[in-house]
Amino acid sequence: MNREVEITALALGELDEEAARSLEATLTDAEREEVEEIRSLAGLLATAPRPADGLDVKRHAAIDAALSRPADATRNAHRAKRRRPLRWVFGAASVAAAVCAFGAFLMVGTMYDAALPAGRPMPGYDTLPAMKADPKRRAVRARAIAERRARSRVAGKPAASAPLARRKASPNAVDRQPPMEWKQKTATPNNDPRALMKSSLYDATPDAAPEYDAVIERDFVAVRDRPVTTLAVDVDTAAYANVRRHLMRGERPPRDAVRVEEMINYFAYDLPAPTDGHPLAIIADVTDAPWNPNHLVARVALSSKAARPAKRARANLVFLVDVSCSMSEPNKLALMKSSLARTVRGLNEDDQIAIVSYASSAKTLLASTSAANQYVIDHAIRRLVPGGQTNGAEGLRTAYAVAARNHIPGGINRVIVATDGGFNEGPTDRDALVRLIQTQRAKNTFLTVLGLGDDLKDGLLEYLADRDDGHYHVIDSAEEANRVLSQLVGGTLAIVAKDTKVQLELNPRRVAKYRLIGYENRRLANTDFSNDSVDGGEIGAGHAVTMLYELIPAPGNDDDQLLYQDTTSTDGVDKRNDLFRVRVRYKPPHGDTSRKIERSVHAWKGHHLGAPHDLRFATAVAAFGMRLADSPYQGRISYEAIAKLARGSLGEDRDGRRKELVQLVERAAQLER
Amino acid sequence: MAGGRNRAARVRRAVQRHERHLVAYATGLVRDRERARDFVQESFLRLCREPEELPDERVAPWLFKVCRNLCLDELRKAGRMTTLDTPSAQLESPGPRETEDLDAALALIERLPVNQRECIQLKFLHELTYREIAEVTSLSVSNVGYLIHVGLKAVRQGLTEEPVTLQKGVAR
Repeated sequence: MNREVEITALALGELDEEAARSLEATLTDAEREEVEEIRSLAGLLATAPRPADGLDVKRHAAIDAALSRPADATRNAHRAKRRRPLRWVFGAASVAAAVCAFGAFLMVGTMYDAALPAGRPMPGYDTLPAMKADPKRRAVRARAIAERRARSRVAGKPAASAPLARRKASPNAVDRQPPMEWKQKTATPNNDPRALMKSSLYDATPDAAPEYDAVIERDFVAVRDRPVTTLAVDVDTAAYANVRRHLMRGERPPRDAVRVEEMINYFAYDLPAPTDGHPLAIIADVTDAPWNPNHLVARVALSSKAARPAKRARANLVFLVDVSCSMSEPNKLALMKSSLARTVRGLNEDDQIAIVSYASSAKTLLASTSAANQYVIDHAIRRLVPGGQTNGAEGLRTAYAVAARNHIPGGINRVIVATDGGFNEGPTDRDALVRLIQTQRAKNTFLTVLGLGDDLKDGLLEYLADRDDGHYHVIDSAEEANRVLSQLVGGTLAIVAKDTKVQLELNPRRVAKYRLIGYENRRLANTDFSNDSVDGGEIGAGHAVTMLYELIPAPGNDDDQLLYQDTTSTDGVDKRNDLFRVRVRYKPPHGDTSRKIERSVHAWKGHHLGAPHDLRFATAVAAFGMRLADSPYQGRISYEAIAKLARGSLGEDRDGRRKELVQLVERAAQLER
Repeated sequence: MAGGRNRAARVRRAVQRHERHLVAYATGLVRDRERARDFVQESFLRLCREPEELPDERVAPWLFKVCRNLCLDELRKAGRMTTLDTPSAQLESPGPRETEDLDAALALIERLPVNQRECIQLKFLHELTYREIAEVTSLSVSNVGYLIHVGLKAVRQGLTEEPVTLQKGVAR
């Protein structure tokens, strides 16, 4: 190879260690620049969308049919008999495969564990206080799960006894893999291609089954029995990403992975900001339920004041994320990924962010880009997957190089390392690394080390961080990660309201029954609404939260209703036509006394098509979620109709997410066929 | 039949992991998604029949190679071999993206001579190593390195030279 070609190979990590080192030693400044440029292009290309289209259901079935034939028969049909001596190879390879699969399994499990809210849905209605995520309990639980998995691996069996295998396997299933959550259809004959698909191909391998808390939907409640309902708001959106991942892989998501409220809140809605001095504004409107023409859907949304324009300097952040094998535990990489995604949303548009990963070698997953490029950044975050050794030295050098190339004079220049331990590969000359850190610090690029996991092997890291004013944090929970990360950039993730609770009082004249869609684990007792010692949810600057209620209008006309009950209130306003009244309580970020805002919503007489884009889109997402979860309330709407509804309410769709939803709905429709 | 079941699990894993990449790759070659899917399906069927159990890390290059041969056979049969030497027709529109740079870079890659384009796509989109690409394309490793080097150089030049006009070339 000539030198130029070799430099390209070096930049792309294609040279073996020795060749790389000797070439690196002879690089001129111009050539070094060249290497950086190639890496930055590689980083850019790495952000290209991955192909999304796989095989269709028919072709999957064909492959599956071939597999369900005895392996020998399959081979004999096409090849001469060469099978006997291979048995041993086979066995050995399958052990290797099992070990690999276990790694993948840990990874998958990990993502789910960090992504899902911790509070479990509870029995009963409106009677129990909401449970708040308890990081310690979760960590313990996560560890227990990891241990259980590890044990079952030692025993040489997949974790089939895990509690998720709740529903019975079909005895006729083509091959006897433990069932996935959603697989609840009764047994179908083997020769039905649908049965083949459902029974096996779309199942993850048994050892890759993630664990989800069961989602138990609430039934409709009669307004006459319980006219008031209360919940603590929640702005989590993680379930959407889980659902998307399942669908993109060509499998239907387990029903407990589908959390409708998190799917709804994944999308940005154009909500008017508050104007009355409160940090929150209530937006409430009503439309027909697209899945049931006799029902209504009410939207109650809270918008908050947008984040103040930055007073702080621009930031140039380079995240250096350890993706070695050991990071695949629940409280490590997955935690870091979700925190990273959340942090980026709090950055200003003129901030720069880059992501470098390192395992056996360093890789620039995201060349420095504006924090406004949400889609690209999210994509890069998704590509952080564990595997390999821990060549931290190369990682640090790469990260500093990226930071230096994008240095903002007078700005916040910082490399943030997230890792669970020591550098066990590559040159780990402490003094050289310390020199690197100190030189960079003299140039105003600072280092923060985030230690993840319980078994921190942090000798070297602590040593390094000690040389830099102790910017070393142990991250044990999502809350801690968010706190630390938001501090890094000067607290831009400001909370505008804490302990936020929403209460609806429904008018029995207009509404017979109601049902909150989703939020199974966020309900509060009505008396907790004005009890300031009961926790609600936090809302950050510029954030919004949307709740949907499904309403069954009251039958008959006014004459049948009680006339003497509360028709006009003391303020003289006729409330007979109200559907419901929304009350919101919140505390200011630095206060302990709650404040209240409220507004009423009138009866809706228009058609669904006349409703605002945002409202229609939110109902499409809700319909999609309920359909995916096979909810008893999903009504009769088809995936096609949902896609059409979503397509007709894209609005501006600045981030392209709504279009993506349409694609997901179409994929789900394909899977159904 | 423990071996049989393991094989099934392995093939299924391979399907899950590689089907989308293979469909994209084959579509790039034959410019017809449905035909591409046929070839990808056939590649997996051949994997089912493969008597030798492939080590995990060899599955990807093996599939790409088989799939590529199927596609090239088809092109040869159809007498469309020329399509491989002419600038490509446009693929379906890419998903929503936000960086102009990325769009421009991808458009530039589409315009590269087909052997450079193929190597670059295998390297960056499908994440194969030089060695694996060499296996898939039956080229030598240094040949692959050369093609990628030349291709990337052209893309970098293109990015600095004509960032504005390129926007029109982006598939929509």
